[in-house]
This record gives sequence, structure tokens and C-alpha cells, in this order.
Amino acid sequence: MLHKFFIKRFRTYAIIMIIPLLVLFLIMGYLILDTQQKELEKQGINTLESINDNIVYVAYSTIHQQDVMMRTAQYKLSIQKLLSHSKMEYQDVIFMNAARSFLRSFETSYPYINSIYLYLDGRDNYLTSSSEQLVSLQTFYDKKWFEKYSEMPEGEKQFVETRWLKRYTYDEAKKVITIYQKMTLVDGVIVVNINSDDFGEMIKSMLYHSGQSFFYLNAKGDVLFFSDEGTSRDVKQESALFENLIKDYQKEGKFKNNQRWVKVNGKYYLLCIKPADYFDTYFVSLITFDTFKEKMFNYLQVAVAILVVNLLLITLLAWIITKSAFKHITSLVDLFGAAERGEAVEKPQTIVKDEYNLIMNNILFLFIKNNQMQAHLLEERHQSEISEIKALQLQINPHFIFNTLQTMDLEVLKQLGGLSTLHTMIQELSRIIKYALTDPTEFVSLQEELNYLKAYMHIQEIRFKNNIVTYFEIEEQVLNHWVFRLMLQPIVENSVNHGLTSLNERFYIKIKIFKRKFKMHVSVIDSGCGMSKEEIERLYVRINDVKSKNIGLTNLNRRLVLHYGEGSKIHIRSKKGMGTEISFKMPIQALHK
Amino acid sequence: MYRLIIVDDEEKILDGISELFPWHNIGFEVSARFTSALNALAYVENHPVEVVMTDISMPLMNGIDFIKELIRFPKIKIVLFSSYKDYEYMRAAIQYGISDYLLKPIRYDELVLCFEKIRMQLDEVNEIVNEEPKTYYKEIISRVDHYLFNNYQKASLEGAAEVVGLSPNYLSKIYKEKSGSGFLEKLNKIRMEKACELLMDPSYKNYEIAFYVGYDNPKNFSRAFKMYFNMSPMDYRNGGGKEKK
Repeated sequence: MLHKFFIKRFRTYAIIMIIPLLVLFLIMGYLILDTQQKELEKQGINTLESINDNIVYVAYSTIHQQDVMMRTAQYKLSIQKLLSHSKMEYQDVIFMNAARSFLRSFETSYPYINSIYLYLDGRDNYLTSSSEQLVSLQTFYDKKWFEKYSEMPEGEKQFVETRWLKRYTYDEAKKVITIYQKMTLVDGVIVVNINSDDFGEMIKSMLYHSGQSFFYLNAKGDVLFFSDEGTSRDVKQESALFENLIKDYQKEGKFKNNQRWVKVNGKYYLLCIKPADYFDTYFVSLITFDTFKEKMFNYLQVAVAILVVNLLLITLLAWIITKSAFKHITSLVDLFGAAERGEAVEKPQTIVKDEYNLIMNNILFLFIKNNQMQAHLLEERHQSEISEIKALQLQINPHFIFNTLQTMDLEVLKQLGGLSTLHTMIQELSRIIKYALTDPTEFVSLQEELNYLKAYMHIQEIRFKNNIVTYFEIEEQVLNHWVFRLMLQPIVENSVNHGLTSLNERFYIKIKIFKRKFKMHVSVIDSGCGMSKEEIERLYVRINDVKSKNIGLTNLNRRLVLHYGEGSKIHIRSKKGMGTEISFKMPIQALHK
Repeated sequence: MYRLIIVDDEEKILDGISELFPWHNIGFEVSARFTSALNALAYVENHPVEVVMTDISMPLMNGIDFIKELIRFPKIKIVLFSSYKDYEYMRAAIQYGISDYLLKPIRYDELVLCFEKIRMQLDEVNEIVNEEPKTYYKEIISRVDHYLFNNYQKASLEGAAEVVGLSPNYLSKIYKEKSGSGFLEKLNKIRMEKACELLMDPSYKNYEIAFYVGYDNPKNFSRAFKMYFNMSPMDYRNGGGKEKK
């Protein structure tokens, strides 16, 4: 039961709390993805632009300066002269040194520039930035570039490729990016060799993170440079990728979509392509999806953590609330059960929390009240049943009883005359039996009840040889109030039965009835043996025990409470050896017919 | 004397009521008694009878059936007596116009009161005036006084009436007429004199004396004492009594 309640509540709370949370997560996730992609795209572009501006520009400006200087006739002639003649004059040497220093200055200020060559068509020699200064095409270790240059078609102004350079046999081969730029006014070429490794270092320092890799392409789509070995391997599997992109560009004059997700060798990359401002080359940035995944993973981790915490909270909340609700329900069930069994039920001290509670409480009070009333009814029925049984026991044949009494009375009259105690006793006893046999629910005036009590006491006095003295202190005004039958007799009977110590000592009973503050006070005081505190306690317990078989005071107490409420309970005062007072009070307004 | 017949199936009771009550004193004579209503009915049909007193539960013919038959004799007064109040009987009884309803065991005062009433009704019809000889009253007064001296504690008008076989009302009337003082006045005088005697004995407490002389409330005794002697029982005990004597 508890389990079922808990699951139900848990489900409700989960739906209420988890669904909005999930929606929120989805929206947040989308937003994060979106900004992430935008950021990555921006990063790609930024990287490409800064590489363009910072590095390639240097190569370009180097070449451009040479090109511009070759436009000056003097410089051109000097260079031509320098390259044509093997024999040099002093001035030629000076010029050559200056030119070389000029070339050299680029090499030294930009460490990634390996060397610069200046060559005019038809000459055997060419000027280098290296220490050899003027070298021959036949003798210089680097000859391959010339083959490439010779193969260049007439119309092509520039060309970029990667090559391997090895100066000495013991040297390791160096990878270089070689830029060929034909000069504008002279037939010749400026060649710039860029150290691929150093270039890579520079590039790497400009990349945002390890997930990004950079590719430098020439106009054919060949990869001149790549920054990341792994990615480059992937790209090699899809050789046509860059080629197609560049072909499209050359056809259309622009990229249709320079930012897009591409699948390379089964992995996803965010591709960003941009034509370089110089040399008819292209930059490509590839950002691996893993970067993305990593960021998303962080986000997902947080989200899942929040969800878990949330679930825990829901569980806890559902458990606590179910538990308390269950406690409430259990107490209600107990209450109902108790009320149904007719046990005394305390008014439940429920705090009104909401309108349902209020309604529930009202229903509950009604139910309990109803039950208590039924219990009272049952009690009263039970009472009257007892009385009836008692009456029936006597009524075996009332005719028989009264006829017998009549016969006895007449017999006594015949033998003893009208003044005998026996005659009195028979007369009073008949009166008592008649009074006791009448319907117990019928109310009588206090006067009648007192008359009956006097008849009862009269017999008692005779029985105890006039050693019982009864005083009546009754206020005139209360005599006409209505009380239930046999209200006083049980107390007096109790006094005589328990208080009377010795037959030789005179026993006084005082019955006091008076009106005070809308209450009728009744007290019966005797001069009997009295009770100790413990005895009083025990008597109280017996009097208040509903199941007690003690007919006298218990019965009276119950009838008083039933008729006049808890305030009319029997009150006992007693002192050992001194006497006992038994009293109770009744509200006057309940005593009118 | 009015003629009365009594019917009860229990012979002991029948005889007791017939013989032990002073019917003569209140103006009746029991002309016949029956243990069976059928016999009684037969008697009534052939003899003049003024009053019928009958039990209710009897074999063969019960009291109610009997009084139904008696409707034929409208002049006859009927008194029912039974062990207890049964509403069925009461209703039937009222329906057939009975004079009174007595409960067993019959109390003397109730019986006398009932028959006094019946006698007065009969007297009215027959225009009879009763006059008794003087010695008869003297006898009554002395018997009542004797009763009062011996029973002052529990004495009552009803008790005295029972002793002399008269109704309390009637006794009260003739007692005042013939002795000069009222019944209660006389009783009070006797009680007060007795109280004086007892007050002289210091071993008696005030409330004991009150009880002795027939007061169930000591305050009432004190009040009555003061009315009578013009001083409280205490004052009397503390010397007032001697001066008076």
C-alpha cells in the first residue's frame, strides 16, 4: 500500500519536475551547440585570416619588393650584369653584396624563410640569399627548382609547391614550401623557400586548440602544408575533396558554402576554406567533431548530474510526503476504527493545511460525533435493557409479589394492629418496589424521589434499630425540578453499606440539595469510617470504568454523565475515620420538564 | 350504612380487607364477598348494592370483563384494586367510569380517602346528614392523644387516622372541633415539651434531639423551637430553660 502510494506520487512529481527540465535541457543544448558551431566557424575564419595576414604576407612582401625593385632600370641592369658575367668588377661585387644583404635581411628577420633566389631567364647563375651569394645552376646543390620553373607554362605567373631540400649528404632532408613568382617587367623569377617545420610552428601557435588543423593548398588542390599528421592522413583518403572545392571556386568565382560539416574518412570535421590573398593559394581549417563532442560532453555531464540530483530530490520528497500522508491516513483509519468500536475518541488535532483538509476534518468530526452519539444511544439502550432485565427479574409476577405483600400486611394488621413496625415496613417496602419497577427512563420530581428515599431510609432505620439518622437539608425551590429515578438511593445505600462501622454507634447521613449559580448541587455526607487516599483513588477507578459490573455508584455516574455531561461526574471527598462526602451537580436548565 | 361487596380471587386478602378495615367508621358495611366475579355478578343482579370493590386479574372472569357487565347498573360505584399500574387496565377502567383505582398493598390512608369521597357522593344523592354521639368523639380524641404521646417522632395525621379508623381530613376537622387545638399544633406541643426535657440532658446533641422529636432537618427544628419558646435551643440549654420553669 505504502509502496503503491509512493510510486504514484513519485510518478506525479517526476512528470511535473522532469519534463520541464528536459525541455530546458534540450533548448539549452541546442543553443550551446549553435553558439559552439558559430564560435568554431569564427575561430576557423580568424585563424585563416591571421595566417594570411601574418605569415604569407611576409613571403609576398619579400617577393613584391624584389619585383618592384626590378622595375628600376639601374637595378635591373646591375642584376642582369651580375648574373651574366663571371668576371666581376669591384662595383659589381659591392652591388652584389648589397643585393644579397637585402635578400638576406628577409631570411634573418623571418626565421621560417629558408632562402630566396633571384633568377633571370637565360642566365647560368642566380642570386641567392645564402652565403654563396651568386651560384651556378650547374653547381649549386639546389637544382630542382629550376626544372620546375622551366616546366611552368608561359601564362602562369606564380606557382607554389613543396619540396625536399638536402644541402649536404649528411644533412637531413628539409621540407620546404617553394613559391615561384615570375617578375612583371623582366623575364625571370623570384623563388622563396619557406621552412615547412618553422612555418608549422608559427601556424600551430596561431591555432585555437588541438582539435583544429590547418591545410595550405595550391591552386591545383595539392596540400602544400598541413599542421596535423592525423588529420592529413584522413584527408589523403579523400584526395578529391580539396580539388573539387577549388575547381568549384575557380568556376564560380566564390565558395558556395565556405563553412560546412564534412565527413572525412568516417570522421566529422567542420571545414572552413578561404582563398589566400596571395599566390593563388587556399587555406583550409578543419575542426574535429571531437572538440565539439568534448564541449557537449561537459554539458551533458552537468545535465545528467542535475537530472540525477533532481531524481534523488523527487524520491526523497515523494517518500517524505507519502510517509506523512500515510501517517495521517493511518491515524484517520485508527480514529474511524475507534469511533466505530464506540471507544472514546479525542477530537483529532489536525492542522488545517488546505481546503481538502478542512472538508475532510468536517466530515471526520461529523462522523465521529455521529458514532459517539450512536455509542451513547447503544449505552442508553444497554442501560434500559439492564433495567428491564432487573425489572423482569422482579416482575416474574408482580401480582404475586404485591398479592403476597397484601396478604402479609393484612395478616400483620390482624395480629398486631395498625401501629406495628412490621406493618410500616411492608407498606414502605411495597412503595419502594413499586417505585423501582416503574419505567426507569421516566423522570420524576425531586419531591417524589425524596419521598421514595425517605421510605427507603425508614426501612434502613428500622433495620439498624434507629441507629441511622438521616437529615434532609433541601431548599424549597429545588423540589419541583425533574430528575431521573433512583438518583439518590445508590449513594445512600453505598454510605450505609460501606460507611457503617459499628451497629452500636449512631450513623448520621445528611442529604443536602441546593441551588447555586444555575446548578443544582447534591451532596450526601455520612459520619462513617471514611476512606484513605488510595481507597478513594480505587473507588474513582471503579466508578469511571464503563465495563465495571458495580451497579450502584458506577451506574449512577454513567447516568449522570449521559444525562448532564462530563461536568456532572461524581465527586468524592473523604477522610479516614471522619466520614465521606459524595457530591455532584447538575445544570438547572436540564432539570425542567 | 352503604352496602359494599368485595371481589378477589385470593381468599386471605379478601377476608383481610373485609374484616380488618374499619368499614363501619367510614359508613360502609361489607354485605358480601366473593372469590369469583361470576358469583359476584349473580349477587348484584339479585341484591341491592351501592359499591363494588374488585381485583382485576382473576380466573374465569377478570375485573375488566366484570365491570363491563356492571354497566347495566349505573348507580353502582366501582373501585378497582390491583397489584400494579397497567395502562391497558387504566384505559379500560376510565372508559367504564370507575370511581377509583387502588394499588396493592392497599394503604390505609388511600383507602379511607377513596371511600370517604364515595360516601360523600352517595350522601349527596341520598341527602343523609350524619350525627354521632358525644362519647364517640371523646373516645377518638383520647385515642389520638395517646397515639401522639407514644409516636411523636414519626406521628402523622395519616397515622392517627389509621389508628382511629377515620379519614385524615375528617379526623383533622373533628379533632380541632372537639379538642380545641389543631392536630399539628398538638403534635408540635408534645414535641417541644419532649425537646425541652432532652435539652436538659447535656449528653444529647442538638441534631440528635431534632431527630428524636421527629425533625429530619435540624434547622427546621431550631426554627420551630424558636417559634414556640421565643429562644433558640442553645439559649434554652444555657440557662434560659430554668428561668422559664
